[in-house]
Amino acid sequence: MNVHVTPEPNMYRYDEFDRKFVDARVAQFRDQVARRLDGTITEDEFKPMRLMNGLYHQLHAYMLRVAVPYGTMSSRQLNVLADIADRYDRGYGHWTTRQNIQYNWIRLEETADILDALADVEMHAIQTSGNCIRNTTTDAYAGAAADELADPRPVCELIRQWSSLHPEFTYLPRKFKIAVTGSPNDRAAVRVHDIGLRMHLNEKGERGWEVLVGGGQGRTPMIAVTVRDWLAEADLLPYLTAVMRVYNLIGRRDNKYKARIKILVHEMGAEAFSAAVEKEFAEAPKETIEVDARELHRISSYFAPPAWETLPAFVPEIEEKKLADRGFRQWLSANTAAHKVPGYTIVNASFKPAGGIPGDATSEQMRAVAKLADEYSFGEVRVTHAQNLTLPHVRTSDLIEVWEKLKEQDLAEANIGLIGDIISCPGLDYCALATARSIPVAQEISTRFADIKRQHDVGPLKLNISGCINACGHHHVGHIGILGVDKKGKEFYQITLGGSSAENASIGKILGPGFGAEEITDAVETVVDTYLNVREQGEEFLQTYRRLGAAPFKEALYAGN
Amino acid sequence: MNDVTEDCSEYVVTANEVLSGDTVFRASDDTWVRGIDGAAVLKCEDTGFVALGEAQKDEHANIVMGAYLVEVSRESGAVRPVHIRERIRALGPTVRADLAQVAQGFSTSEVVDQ
Repeated sequence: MNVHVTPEPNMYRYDEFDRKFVDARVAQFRDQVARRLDGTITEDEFKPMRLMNGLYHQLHAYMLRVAVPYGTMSSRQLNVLADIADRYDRGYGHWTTRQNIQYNWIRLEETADILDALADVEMHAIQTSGNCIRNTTTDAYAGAAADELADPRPVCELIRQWSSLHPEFTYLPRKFKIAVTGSPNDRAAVRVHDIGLRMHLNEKGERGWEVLVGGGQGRTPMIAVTVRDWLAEADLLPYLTAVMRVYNLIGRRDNKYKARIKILVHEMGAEAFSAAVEKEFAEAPKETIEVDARELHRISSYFAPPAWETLPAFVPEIEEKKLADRGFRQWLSANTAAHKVPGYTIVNASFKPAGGIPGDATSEQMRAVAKLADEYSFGEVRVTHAQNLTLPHVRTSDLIEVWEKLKEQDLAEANIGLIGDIISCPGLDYCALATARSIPVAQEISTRFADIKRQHDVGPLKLNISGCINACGHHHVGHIGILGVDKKGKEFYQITLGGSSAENASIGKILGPGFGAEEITDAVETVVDTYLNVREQGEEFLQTYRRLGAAPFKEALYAGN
Repeated sequence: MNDVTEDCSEYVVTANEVLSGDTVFRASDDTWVRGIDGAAVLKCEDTGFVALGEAQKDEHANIVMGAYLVEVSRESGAVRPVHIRERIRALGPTVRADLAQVAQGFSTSEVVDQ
């Protein structure tokens, strides 16, 4: 009999402090729930406590948002997420744009049991809500990407440890999101976060960080400004502390819609804000929070590369399969990415089947990906901010097998980065804040563009949909963005064009009057067809838009009206 | 002069059950039911507010939370919220038939048709 041994990937492990802290939080929450249910505390009193533990109340039920720190998890953790979906929810979960997972049908009385199950595999739901520093996000390809300077996850973990329950930053003016990239090709959307960190190397090969502040989406989208071109790694936490202190002290608390740090940076001006941060940084004592090289080394050791083999980069059978099988060729082209080690490939599992719900994952799919991770990727899985999963370290020679197994689970749609890979918030089908549905729009568009060859002919095109102005579906940074609004009780959809969350980030511009639910897919198709008509050889959608502006698209959509 | 009682809208009282978080509606026997089809329909806002006041006692008793009035209309004899948000809240997500309230046995209605 074969005994299957689950490999343990190299990732951060709880120390005694982490374990006690998380266990204590679960026990506290269990007591808080009991007091809520016996009437000792009211909903108004209970609400901030449940939110601090990731428990929201949405349109239909309680929703639990579980943190996946910087999007990295083990197959063991993913299996537990699948078990939670089956045992405590309705057999599925939803990958979020912040690399987390949400469960939509949670019962209050069972929540502490779920948190216990999560704690058993070193997971929790802390800081997935509330006006605190949220789960730090990063490149889903971290530690694997051919184009990265270094793995950014040790710094993400450092930030997690620094920010977790930091007494000074527990009651910020508003929520606060940090994203980190170790690659010049930004897959972490750092310029639309409250703080974005971008790794650079100096001429000596030393690592340093560019600090960007004041980006964000929501009702007032802004691109972050660089407040420091270069920050030595040892200064990272003191500098982040300085940024947080300036924000905490003078960020607005009188109006929640003007309380994010982007408003402060905008109102002060980038120069004045930077000066205030530099002053705080210069004056504050640093000894206690400087990034001790030994400590960073200790954290980094958790993220040591897996035991990669020495493999040939060129695998003849893969090349032959590419030539012989168009489906495989398309999948390879869209759903894989270059690995830093020859003979390995990064593989994305697409949770965007044509007509499907973007980011929804059944427990069966979760277990299947966990099994693939065990068999082919050192037991390691990533959640992407585009609501897919990644197997970061797959042997190139295993790609055909992995492709076949993903197909069995409907996870091999060859559409990563294409129009079918739609980012969508849950919208009015689930969300208490939404003003319009977003999932049905995504389903209709992905069905319209179901032909994979057509998607590949169109080329890279990010289409993002939000069901309200809060922009959880990242519509502001979609090459094509769709914002659902309520207009006298009817759902209407505005189109924005030209957004990007990449290193050349930009906020999309509204094209013109909105469209009814029955018109929006046709409108998107008109935009795409217009692009195909006016693009130059090899030009991607965003490049065409930036070259020509909105005029040809407006003309195509509105000229007859 | 208009006959106010004939023109006034109809309402149901809704809330969420504390334990499950589920959407519930106030029935005519002052219990809470999961399907809107079992809700007591209240003629005119004034009547609705009286019923809401009674229902809010169950908030203090920790049975439900966030009780409020929802305007409804009759569609083929069924009581349905007027606004799409409330229709989806009452009938379940529109994107998976198995998650709709009708599939859970709480409503005789199909999913929201907007």
